[in-house]
Amino acid sequence: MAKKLKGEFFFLSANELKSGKIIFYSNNGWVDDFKQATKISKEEIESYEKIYQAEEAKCIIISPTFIEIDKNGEILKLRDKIRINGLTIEI
Amino acid sequence: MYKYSQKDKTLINERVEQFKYQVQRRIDGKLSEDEFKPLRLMNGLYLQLHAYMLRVAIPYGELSAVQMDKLAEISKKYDRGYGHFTTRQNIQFNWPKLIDVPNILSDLSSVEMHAIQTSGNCIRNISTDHLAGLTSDEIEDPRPWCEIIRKWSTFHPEFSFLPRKFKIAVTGSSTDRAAIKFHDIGLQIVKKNQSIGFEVYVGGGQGRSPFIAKKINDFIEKRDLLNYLEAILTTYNQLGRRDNIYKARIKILVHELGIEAFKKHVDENFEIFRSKELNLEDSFIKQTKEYFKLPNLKPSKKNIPLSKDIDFHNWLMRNSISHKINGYSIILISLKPRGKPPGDASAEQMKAIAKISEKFSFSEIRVTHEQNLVLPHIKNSDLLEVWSGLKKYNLATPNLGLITDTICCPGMDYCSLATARSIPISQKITEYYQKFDKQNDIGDLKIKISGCINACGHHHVGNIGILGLDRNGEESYQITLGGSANQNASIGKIIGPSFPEDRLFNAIEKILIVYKQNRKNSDEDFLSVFNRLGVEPFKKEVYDST
Amino acid sequence: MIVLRNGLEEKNEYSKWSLESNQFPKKEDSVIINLDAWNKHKHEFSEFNYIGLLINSDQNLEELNADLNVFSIIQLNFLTFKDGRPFSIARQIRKKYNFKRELRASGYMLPDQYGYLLRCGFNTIEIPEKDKEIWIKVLSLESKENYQQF
Repeated sequence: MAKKLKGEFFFLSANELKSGKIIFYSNNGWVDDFKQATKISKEEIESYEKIYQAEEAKCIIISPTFIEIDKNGEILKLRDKIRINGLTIEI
Repeated sequence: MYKYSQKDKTLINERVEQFKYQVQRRIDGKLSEDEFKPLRLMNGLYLQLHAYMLRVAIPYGELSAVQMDKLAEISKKYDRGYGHFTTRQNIQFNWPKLIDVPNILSDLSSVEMHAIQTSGNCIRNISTDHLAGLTSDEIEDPRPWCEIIRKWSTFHPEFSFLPRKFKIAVTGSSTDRAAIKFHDIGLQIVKKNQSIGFEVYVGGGQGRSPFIAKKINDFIEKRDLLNYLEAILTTYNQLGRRDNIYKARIKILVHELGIEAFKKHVDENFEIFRSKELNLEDSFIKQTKEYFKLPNLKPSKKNIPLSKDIDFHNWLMRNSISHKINGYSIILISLKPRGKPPGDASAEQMKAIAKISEKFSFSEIRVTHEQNLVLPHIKNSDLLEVWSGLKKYNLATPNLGLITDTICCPGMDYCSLATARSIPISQKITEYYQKFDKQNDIGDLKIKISGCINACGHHHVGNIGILGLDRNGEESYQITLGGSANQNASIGKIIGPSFPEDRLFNAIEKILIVYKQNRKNSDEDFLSVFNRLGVEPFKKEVYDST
Repeated sequence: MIVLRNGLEEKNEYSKWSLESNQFPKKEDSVIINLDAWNKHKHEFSEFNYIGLLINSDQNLEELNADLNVFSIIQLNFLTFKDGRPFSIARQIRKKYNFKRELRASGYMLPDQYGYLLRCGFNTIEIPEKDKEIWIKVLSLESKENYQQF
C-alpha cells in the first residue's frame, strides 16, 4: 500500500474475499464490528502490512486498507465512515 | 425482441461453467486477485466500497417482462431487494457475494441474460436510442445493427485485453438520443443514394478528459460495418497507450495522433485485414431484422380515456410520446421519484413493471441511458389504467426531462473512487423542486451529477453539471453549464470554484433566476438561453453577488 | 517450461540463444533468437534450417525488413496477460505477412486466454509445467462455437 498515511492511529479493514463484506482486524481475527477492531499505532503499520499480506495469500481478504482514526477511535475520513456505517441514503 | 439461437445458449452456458472454475481457482489460491480481476470484470463483477457489484447486461437496453421479473427475483434472492439502472442501459446489483455469482449467472442464463463484458478492458454493451423503432424521425431502426455488433464483439479473441474499456453507441435518427458523440465509437445510420450505411465517429468520451468524437468516415456501406470496426479496434489495440490508465482510452490516441493520421492507420488496416467472413450479407441482415419487427399493433382512433386527475394530465404531458402507429403511445417510466436514489427500482417495482408490460406493452420494456425505463407500445385507450398501475408503485412521477429527472452516479455512498456523495444531491433536488408547476415552469433541463472526476454521472454533458470534489476532507461541488449529449454535442463550461452543499443549492437557484429573467418566452429552454447568453451572466450572478 | 499444442504436450524442439550467450549456434541447431540478435547476425541466421524469432508484446514487426517465412517459428512473448497486443500481432503475422508456419505464445499469460490464443492463430504455447493441468482443463471448457467467423 504505497499511499502515504497521515494520522496517528488506524484500524485495518478489508473486504472478505468470498462474500465481499467489510471486515476489521482484531485480536480475535477478522470481525464484522469495527468496535472490536484493534487500534494500530503508526509504528505498528509495517507489522500489520505483513499480516494483511499473509491474509491475502490465504485467500481470506481482498482490498486491505488502513482506516484513519483519532486517539478515541473516532473515524476521520468520510469515505471510511460510509464504509463502516453504510449508506447515508435511504433506499 | 431478440431470441437466443442454440449457439447463443451454448456460449452463455459455457461461460457460466468457465466462471465457476475461475471462482474455484481464486478461492483455492490458484489465481491471485490481480489475475482474477480481469476475468471477473469480464463477467461483470466489480468491487465497490461495501461489497462486490454485479453489472448485468441489457443489450441495447431491451428487456422482456420475463427478464425483468427474473431480475426482481435475483435482487431478492441474492441481494438487498433492489437494482440500479445505469447510463449504459444495464442494471447493477450492489451486494452480491462472490460465491453466489456463478448461481446468479446460471439463473440469468435461464432467461437469456448474462453479465458478459459489462466491465473490464473489452468491448462493452452496445447502447442505443431508447426510442429505436418507435418514432417516425428514424432513418432506420438501430437495434438490429446493435445485435449484429453485439455478437461480433462478444468473446472476440483479439479485443479482450484492450488498453482500456471500449464503448460503442448507435443511433438511427438524426436526433441523437444515444449520445454517440461521447462514445469511443459512435455510429450514425445514414442513407446515401437509397443505400443504408454509417457515418462513423471515434474518440468521444467523458471521464477525466472529455472529448467530442471526431468523424472518421462519411459513409461506410452496411456490408463493411464489421470489417471497419475491426480496423478501428485493431489500430487501438496496437497503438493505444498502456503506460497510464488515465491516458489509455481511444480518445487520447485520436487526440495525440490527430484524426488524419489515425484515419490513415484505420484505412490501412481495413485494406489489409478485411475478410469476406466478416462481410455482412443481405440475408443475414434481413434475418436479424426479423427479431425487431413491431408487434401486431392495430392503428386505432380510440382516444385517451377522460380523467379529471391533474396528475394524469401532467404525466401524459411529460412522460408520453406519440408512437409512429396511430392510437399508441410510448410511455416513459420515471425512476426519479421524490426523495429516492435516482435510477433505482425495488423488486416490487420491477415485478409491477413486468406485469404491466406483459398486459399492456407486448411484454417489452426498455432502459434509457438516462436511468429511466420505457414501455414501448401502449394503446391510448389503456393509458389511464397503465398510469394507475404505475402510480401505485411510485413509478408515475411526471418529471421526464425536467429538473428532478437527474442522471446521477452512485457516488461515495457506493463507490471507492468517489470524492463526494452524489445521490443525496439528487434527492435534495427532487425535494426542493417537487412541485410539478415549479418544475414545469423551469422546463426542459438536464442536470447530471458525478461524485468524482471520472464523470460516470455524465456531468460534462449536463445542461447543469455538478461535480463532487474533496476539498480538504470536505465534500465540495463544482458547477458546469451548457453541456449537451445530443447531435449538438457540447462539453459544459466550469463557472468557478466549488462550494459546499448549502451554497450549491443557492447557486442553482441563482442560475435558474438568470435563466428565467432572460428567456424570450416560457418555451425557450435553459440550454437555448445559455447558448444565447454564454457563461458570463451566470458566473457573475453566482460568484459576484453575495 | 513445456510446450502444448491443442492441449497435448510436445517436445520443445528449440533452444533460446541471445547475444549474451557464449557460443554462436551451429547451422543445424534449432534456435529462437530475439530482434537484436537477428539484426546483428541476419546473414548467418538466414542460413539456418530452423531459425525462430522472439517478439515481445511491446515490439514492432514493421522494423523487420524480411519475409517472415524465413523463420520456422515466431514466438510472441506476453510481458503481462493484461497487455493484449500479441493477439493483434498474431493476426497481423497471419494476415498481413502471410506467415504459415508455427506461431507460439509464451510469457505471462492466463490459462483462460487459451481459446483466444488459438483463434488468433497461435499453434503452440510455452508454459510452466506446474500449470499444465489448469491449461488443459480450461481448454476442455472452451467452446467449439464462436461468434467471429474468421
